[in-house]
Amino acid sequence: MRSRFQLLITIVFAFYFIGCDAYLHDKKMAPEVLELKSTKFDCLKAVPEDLKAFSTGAGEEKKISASIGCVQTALQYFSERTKGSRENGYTAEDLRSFFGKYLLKENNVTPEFAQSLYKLKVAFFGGDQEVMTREELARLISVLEVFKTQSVALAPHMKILVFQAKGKVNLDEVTAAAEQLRKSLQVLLRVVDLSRSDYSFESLKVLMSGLSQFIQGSGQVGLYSDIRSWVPLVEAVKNVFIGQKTSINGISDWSDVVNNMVDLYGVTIRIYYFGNSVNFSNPSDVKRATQLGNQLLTMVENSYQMKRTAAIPLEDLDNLIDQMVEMKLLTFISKKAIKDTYKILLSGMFDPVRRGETRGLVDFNREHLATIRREFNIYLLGQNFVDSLPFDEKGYADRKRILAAYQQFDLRKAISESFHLENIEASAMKAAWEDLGLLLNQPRQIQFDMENRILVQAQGDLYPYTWKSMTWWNLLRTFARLFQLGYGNRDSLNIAQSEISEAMFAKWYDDFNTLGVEIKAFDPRGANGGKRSFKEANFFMYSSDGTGGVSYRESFEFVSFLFSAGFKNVSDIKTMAEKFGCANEAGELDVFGNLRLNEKCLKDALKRNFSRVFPNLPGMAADVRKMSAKSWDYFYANLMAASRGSDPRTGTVETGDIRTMTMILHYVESLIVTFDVNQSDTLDVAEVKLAAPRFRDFAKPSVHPEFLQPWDGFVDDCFANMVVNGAKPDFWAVLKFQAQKALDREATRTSMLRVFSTLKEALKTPSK
Amino acid sequence: MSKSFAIVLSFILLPVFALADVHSYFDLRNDSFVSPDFEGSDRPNYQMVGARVLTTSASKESFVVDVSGSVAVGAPIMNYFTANQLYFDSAPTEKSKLIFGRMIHSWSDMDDRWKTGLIQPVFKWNPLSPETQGLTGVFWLQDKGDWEVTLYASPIFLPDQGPSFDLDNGQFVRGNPWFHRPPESIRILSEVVKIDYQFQKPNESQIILQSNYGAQAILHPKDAKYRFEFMHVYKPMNQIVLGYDGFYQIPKSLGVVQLEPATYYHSVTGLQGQIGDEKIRAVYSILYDRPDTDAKFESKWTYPTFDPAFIHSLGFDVGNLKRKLSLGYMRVSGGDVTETGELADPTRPSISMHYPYREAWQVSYFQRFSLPRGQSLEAKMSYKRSPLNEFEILDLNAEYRLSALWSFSAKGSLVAASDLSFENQNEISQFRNNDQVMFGATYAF
Repeated sequence: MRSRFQLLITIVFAFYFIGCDAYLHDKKMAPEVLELKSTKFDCLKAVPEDLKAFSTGAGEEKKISASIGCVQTALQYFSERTKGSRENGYTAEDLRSFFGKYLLKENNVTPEFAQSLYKLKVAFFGGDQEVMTREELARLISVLEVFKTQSVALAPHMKILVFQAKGKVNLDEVTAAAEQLRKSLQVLLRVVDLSRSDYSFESLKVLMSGLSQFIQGSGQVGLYSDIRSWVPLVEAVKNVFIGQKTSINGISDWSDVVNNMVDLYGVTIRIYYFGNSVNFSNPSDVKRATQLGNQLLTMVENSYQMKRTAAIPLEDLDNLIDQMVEMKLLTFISKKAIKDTYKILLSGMFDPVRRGETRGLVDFNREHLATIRREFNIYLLGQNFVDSLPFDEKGYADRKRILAAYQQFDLRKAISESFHLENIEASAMKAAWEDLGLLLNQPRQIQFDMENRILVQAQGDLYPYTWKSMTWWNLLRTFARLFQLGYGNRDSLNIAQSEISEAMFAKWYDDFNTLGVEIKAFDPRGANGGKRSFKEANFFMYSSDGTGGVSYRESFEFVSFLFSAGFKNVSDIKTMAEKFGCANEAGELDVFGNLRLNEKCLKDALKRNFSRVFPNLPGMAADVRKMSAKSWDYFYANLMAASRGSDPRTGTVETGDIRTMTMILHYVESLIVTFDVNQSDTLDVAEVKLAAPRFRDFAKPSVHPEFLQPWDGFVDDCFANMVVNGAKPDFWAVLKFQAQKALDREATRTSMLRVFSTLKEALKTPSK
Repeated sequence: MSKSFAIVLSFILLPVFALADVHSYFDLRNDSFVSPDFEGSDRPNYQMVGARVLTTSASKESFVVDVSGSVAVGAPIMNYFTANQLYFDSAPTEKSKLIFGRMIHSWSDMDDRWKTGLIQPVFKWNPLSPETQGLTGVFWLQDKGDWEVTLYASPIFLPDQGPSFDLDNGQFVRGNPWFHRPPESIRILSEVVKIDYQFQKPNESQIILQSNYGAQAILHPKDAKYRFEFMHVYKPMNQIVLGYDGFYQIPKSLGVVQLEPATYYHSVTGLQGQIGDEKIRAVYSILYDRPDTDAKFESKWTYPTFDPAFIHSLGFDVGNLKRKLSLGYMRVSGGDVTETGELADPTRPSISMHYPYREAWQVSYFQRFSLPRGQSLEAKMSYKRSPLNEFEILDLNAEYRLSALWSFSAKGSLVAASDLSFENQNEISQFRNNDQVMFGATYAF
């Protein structure tokens, strides 16, 4: 018994303690960890990329929907799985702390940005600025549902909306994109409480600044990288259209503001996609341009600020210009030039009372806008007429058909259907229509070729009218109207009756000098003074009468000559000269920044290519073609003597010389075709004397001695002597001319150029 | 709950003591946790002072009591009180009994042998060594010779009695090595932060006042060496189920986890067959456990769901009062516990368990030695192993009875277990470093 007991005890304890070691050295328990899953936040990683793709127009609808859905889910999960400092919500610091610690480790939201987001929260959902409640978070999630729907609707348009559309974009697509933006914003506006808030632009600026900093910090680039730098421009735009400290109250006001902003955005994208391609060569381009113009005007008319206060302060416009220049949206012109010019336009052309007085001009008001709208409508009426002209299959119409169409045009219908105007405005349109008829019915009508060069030929009717030439005609007519409106006398309400004095011409030149020089239209050395232009308009146009001021007809013809000769012909000469290697080898530039041209080369090239660069002067081109080398030398010498502003010793010709030369050639040809009654291609004494009346005031002072009272016939003889002999006569020379005039003397283009040369100095000085 | 329960019992016990043949014991013991990797508490040694009151098994008294309690010196969290049985028999005859109170009844050999708490609750102050507690209610037992019937019904439910725990400032207090503390930290978006637990104390009446019933029929013809049993109970599961939900408290950078206890009903149906007699017998039990699937928590909470299970148990006993060899095997088929909810993690075992393990076999041997002068020594060794749940438990108990009044005991318990995982869910692994040696002395009065 005893031995069994001992055996058992021994076995048990031996077994027990031998095995002990295996039992006693278990591993320590690994600490258990619960896990609040992050899977619902995982999808957030893809959100920035998807939103970036969306914002650059590369987003797919499915991905956008999924991304916003992910944000919703994450917010819902956040709401369920976290608690903030407040009983029922989160402070901005709570959110910063959470997102900074777990989701935005590299770039947290700054305290200022967080406060901005809370301010926006208050604007959208109301409540306390210190806390976002769970209910507000729930509302945000439901608003995101609307946002998702609208984002999906916007997705196909985003490329256009964010200026990323490549290739051909048509107008309908742009319009559809802007309209979808409008629709989406209006829908979103209605699901938030923005209309009841006092959210200010200052708050938005801080928000944008924070957003920019946040996005930059997160390494995102592209559209948002310089978002902060755009804020001042956006603010400037906002100040112009909405006002500086305007309080916007109620859904209706907010809806207006949204529409206003979308209008502006719509115009911006239209300009972006079509602005550079606007020309007047085909109807669709012109239609698009006029639609854009109409859109711009409507936008300003409907702007919140204009509607509320009937004016936009110039201070805001100035600031907008400053910002546009700052952002390099306007690079070819200084802000001073723009500001000066638009104020001149406002106080002169568009202000019925000021007559160019800029003192006290503090705003762009409804009267200015009404004037611009009227002139725009008048332009459109003219264009409607052009569009309605019965061109044949080749696109041609003769003068007879144009005049018949004018007579048959249903003005009443056009006004009522296209413009929906009040009676008083309709009357103004009718008056403008009569002015148009006045220009159309001139014996020698301004006419353009297919390249918008003014046609100066003996028989104007030989060349057909086209839609393009008439469109150009209508555009220049509008310029002439504005010119007349700004600088003509206002004794008559009818533009056709107004005249621009020499002093006002000089004022025009002064007004636009800064702008003209900057866009390289005016010579910075002042060679092309306003008073000289006055004389040119008063002497060398088809309708010039040499007396009083510049009439509407003269003004229109002057503008037409200026734009034709000043742009196309000059451009053609320069192209031709460069093609023939006339560019100055030393690379010297003239005051316009263009290469000087080697004169000898230019002279030769011009002789050989005269008809190519001046196809609009067929008579003169034929004359030059027939000239011998010696005659051409003489012709050219007189032409350059009259035109040259540069130093002849350099052996080079500069842009200013070519411009003047081109204008003089046009003026000579204008005189020839106007007064060459017998179509001999020269002016005989009788024909010269026909032209003489318009020059009487100019020719009179050259008669000496002064105690002799010259009579008109004598003065005309003086002028004829000057034209035929090519020199400014004195008293005795005129007497001698009286004896010679029975002889068969004629004024050729060359002799007329010699007169220009002779009178060059006189042209520069004002008449007494 | 245990404190109020103890007070009530104290009032009940006073008259019981007066009427029944009760024995009272006073004991002192020292519990030492001997593993060098012990981490259940800050101290490895506990001195316990306890008392036990029970009626003898031979007693035919109307009142039966088995209550005990113990106080750990300097570690109040280790204190316990348990009333494994406490009932009154209103018709104490051989053939018929009508019992009111808490009574341990042999509903199934599986439940008795393995003490899983499937049918009758268990006292798991030490989960490695659970003690069966009785169901509480009204029992009607009829013995008709060849067959027996037991009916049970109750409006009261008392769940398993586990180790005490305390929650201080959102943290489960470290101190009771038998309490498995839930995870201390939570991972939120890859950051691990501390957990602040918020235990939503249940309404005790909601837990206790839950009706349950059961029935058992036993066929054992006289002199036959076989026995068949059928039983069925419908009652709340004895294991309290924990639902939990977490959120992140931003200002404190804390993960807050709310815990809420709940009970799930289940029905257990069992068949059992036995051959042999009291000296040698083999028993096979099969039980079908079908938990209710109705969720008791909000949908966003994380909570367990229990699959139905078949539990097989095979036992073999040979011996008598002096020596006894027992062999056993049990296996749970099905019965997966899967957590559902935001905090559920398929790589982590459920916080709540229904079965302490899914498979085990066990061998135990008991020997009683009679020594001179009325002294005796009782020794018991048992070895439990689970290939499926990868644990082993080796227990050795020895009690030296010096006299009718004094006895001394020694106990050793060694545990080895693998890591817990979703696939390996068991209760033993949690205490694998709670290897223990205990010495004690008991005084009967």
